[in-house]
Amino acid sequence: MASDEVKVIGAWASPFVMRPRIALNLKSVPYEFLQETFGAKSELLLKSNPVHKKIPVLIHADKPVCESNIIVEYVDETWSASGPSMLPSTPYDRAIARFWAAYIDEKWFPSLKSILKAEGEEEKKAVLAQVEEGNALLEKAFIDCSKGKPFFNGEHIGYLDIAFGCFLAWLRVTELAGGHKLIDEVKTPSLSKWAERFCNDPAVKPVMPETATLAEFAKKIFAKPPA
Amino acid sequence: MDESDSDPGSYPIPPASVHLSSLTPPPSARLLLSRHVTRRTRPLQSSPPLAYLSLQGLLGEASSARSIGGGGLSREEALAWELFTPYQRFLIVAVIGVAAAESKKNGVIAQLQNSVDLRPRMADEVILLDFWPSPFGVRARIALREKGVEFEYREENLREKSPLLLQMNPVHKKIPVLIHNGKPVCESMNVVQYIDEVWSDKNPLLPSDPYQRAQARFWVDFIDTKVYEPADKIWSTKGEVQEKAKKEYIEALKILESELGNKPYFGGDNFGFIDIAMTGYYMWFEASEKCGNFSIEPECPTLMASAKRCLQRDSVVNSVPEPEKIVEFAFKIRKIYCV
Repeated sequence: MASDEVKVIGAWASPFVMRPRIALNLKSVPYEFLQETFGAKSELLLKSNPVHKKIPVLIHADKPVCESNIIVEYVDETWSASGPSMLPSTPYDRAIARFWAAYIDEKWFPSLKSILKAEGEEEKKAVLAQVEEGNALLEKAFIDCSKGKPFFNGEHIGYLDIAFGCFLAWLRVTELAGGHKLIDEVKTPSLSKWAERFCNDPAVKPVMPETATLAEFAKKIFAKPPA
Repeated sequence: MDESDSDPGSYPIPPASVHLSSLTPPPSARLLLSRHVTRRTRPLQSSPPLAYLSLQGLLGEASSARSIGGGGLSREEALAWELFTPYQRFLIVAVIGVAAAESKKNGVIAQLQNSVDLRPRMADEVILLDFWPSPFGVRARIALREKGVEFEYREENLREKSPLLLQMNPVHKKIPVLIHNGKPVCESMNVVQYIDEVWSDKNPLLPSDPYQRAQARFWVDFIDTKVYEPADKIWSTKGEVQEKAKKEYIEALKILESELGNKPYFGGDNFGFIDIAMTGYYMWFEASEKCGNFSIEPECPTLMASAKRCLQRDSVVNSVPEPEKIVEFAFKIRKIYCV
């Protein structure tokens, strides 16, 4: 076993798992993808992430790194010479990128998830409004961060692009299920164009699930009774 | 700097910077000339390109003794100047011009270096919007003091948030907010990282190794989820909910204690990122114990020892309120939330 071998423990449908995979692709770092079985956690996962027992976990030279955004920063710092920087160059712009990544995880994604779980028109309307409010904020954030360039990070995909872009497949599934567009050319024109660029990027395409496949999977897991 | 004349483009030049040994003017002429090349002028107002040296004005008037020295030479000096051939005069002026430009450039470099050194002390405006008992706000205070950064502390009334807070953190409307030269940074550990990156010359708060940095970030994330949620419930709930919270809180602290091991700080020998994150909770230990009627030390003795060490650090002593004040505050808030 090579001493600097890289493994990623994850699952194809998880947007969080997509983050380290995109980062590794951007830095052209080969890795072994260890797919977890849905509903049963492997020994390696439990050993590598005993605190949270969650995916993704990056294992580099037998040392585990946990938490998706932290893994992305680790990849960026470890393979800094192998590709453009995933974080902006100034401390202020980096703070802004980290701020929005935290917002996406703490506020935006939970409200997106609750659209699929919402029961009744009233609740659905309320959570939709929350997501749309978030999208408006992120549309402005994109304009501010990108400064006219194609991605949040500028010329190249970076930390914040990955933090947000990993949710695009689930966003499309939610739009299909709800019959309601969330990111489109009218409400969020910049994000709409960015989303297309992001999904077509060669570092992203191989790890982004097809909307139809993901929709099938979503039906299955949301059909299960609560654990 | 003397502001004795209205020539804004020059910088004082040291006298006698030119040797004319390759030409052979009479010694008296050499001395007189070099003395009169010095001009005392106002400092540079802007940075004109110094690589290009204009000899036009100088050359045009090189033949005229009156033009030298910005006011003419004395009779003897004029006579001495006339001893040079026009070609020699041209060379003398050119050499002096180059030397002057060099000196001017070095003077500008020195001036710029001074202003760069002065800038952190003079031009930086650092304001912290904060709330005195906040375990999150205290992190920013500690980080700024670790770095020796002068800042203006502004107390926020969280029941009546200032227009500045609402403007600087419109998304969350929360403290702490660090405003550095007018630009806001929000979220406490984001603020700490920002402070570490901007004032990187002393007391590094994050390790330099990528793996160690990932570990530090991981544990801070753990603290802000697994310690924060039960800690919050301990002072704001009672009965079974509070009992469950106490158990979860101690469990989380035990996990942290095992990560700490035998190290004096989470950062090893040095107080760092994880320690700063935890200090917000260390300062609330007494209040949590009193609200929950339990004791942390018997459960986590080594963590407690590290906590005491952290609470004694200068940057921390100057940042945390007295424990009795936090206890008093906790009970006041508890009355409101715990009906």
